[in-house]
Amino acid sequence: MDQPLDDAAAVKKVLEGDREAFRGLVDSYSGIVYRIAYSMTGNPDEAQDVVQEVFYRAYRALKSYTPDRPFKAWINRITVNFVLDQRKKKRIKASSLTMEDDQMLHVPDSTYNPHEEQRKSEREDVVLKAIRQLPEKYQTVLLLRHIEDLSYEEIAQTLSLPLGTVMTHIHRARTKLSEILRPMQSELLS
Amino acid sequence: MIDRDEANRWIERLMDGETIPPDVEDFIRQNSECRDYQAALEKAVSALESLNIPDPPAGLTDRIMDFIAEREASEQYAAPQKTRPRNSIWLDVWKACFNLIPDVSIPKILQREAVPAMVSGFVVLFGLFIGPQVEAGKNIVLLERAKTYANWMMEESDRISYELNSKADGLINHVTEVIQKSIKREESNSDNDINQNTSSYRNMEWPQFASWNAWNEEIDQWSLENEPRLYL
Repeated sequence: MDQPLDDAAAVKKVLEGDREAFRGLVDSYSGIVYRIAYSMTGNPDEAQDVVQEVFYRAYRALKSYTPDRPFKAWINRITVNFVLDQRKKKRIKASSLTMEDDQMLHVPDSTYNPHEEQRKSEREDVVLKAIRQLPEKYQTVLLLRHIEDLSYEEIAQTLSLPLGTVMTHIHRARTKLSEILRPMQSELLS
Repeated sequence: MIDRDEANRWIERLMDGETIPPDVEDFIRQNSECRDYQAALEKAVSALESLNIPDPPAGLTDRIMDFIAEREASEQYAAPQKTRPRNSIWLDVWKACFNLIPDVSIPKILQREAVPAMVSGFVVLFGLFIGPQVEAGKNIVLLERAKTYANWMMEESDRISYELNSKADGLINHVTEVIQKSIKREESNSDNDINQNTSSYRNMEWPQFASWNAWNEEIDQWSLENEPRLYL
């Protein structure tokens, strides 16, 4: 329970001009932001860029932060929104090829970097591909629930959604993911 | 009595780590659809949890702090953050510009830098449409002036030339008259006394003038008095 109070105090200090106080917040939450970014992008370099940009945005928007809400939920929301915005921009760029990210995931190995493939295990790759075939709202809740192990309440705070909506999204996301993974059972088992 | 929907809801809760009551567990075990549903969800969840998300790289905090410092420094040198002109008059002008061009999105840089954009727009318009006309107007004035100066210079050169000519004529006439007088005087003396004539010519009294102006006036006066006679 001390963490939110500490966070609020750190935010206050930063707003008073003590930029080093922000370092404490970065220390506490860069890990979770990185993991969310990585699970949503699937690329360590991209995830690192996301983390930098997210904390810069948070630093600039610190005035809009209200201490009645956990800093963790606030920064997680900035992360999720930022990654989704980036995806949208990429989609707009890719629209000249009339292929969306999700469609591109169905394209077989020709688009993959072989070095990247070697680095990741095939099993993880199959699962990540399956996750990215889900609608964005399902992807987000699923990653926050199972990768970040956030509670339903935390997810609801992060995404500013009603608790019931979060539960429904998670239920549908799991069901849909299991449907996508069903034909890939052999790959998963191998 | 437990039905399938309720059993599925419990399966969902099971996936979140909750324990399910024994009677629900029995129901699921006896119902093949519920068993399949549970198996599918367990596979999906275990696949999700098997994902190996790497730890953040070492020194990430320092990198983030450096990044923030760099961005802050670069923004200090960047353009001001206003997205619309502050002055309400300029804002109205800008809105009017937007209304003039429907269905055209103005680039953000032009929206942010509205005043410089409008000034440079005016400069371009001036250069394209107004500038040549103004230039032509200026050229006409210059031409008129040049014409006036050219006329004045021609008149002046005529006047100077006339004055110089008249002065030169006057001088020549004066010299001629002096010579004629001396010749006549000599003719009245002995024709043989050439040396004497020569000496008298040499000793002839030439007019003495105090200055160039005085010489000029004298010549002019002399010309007026003698010119008709000489030319006759």
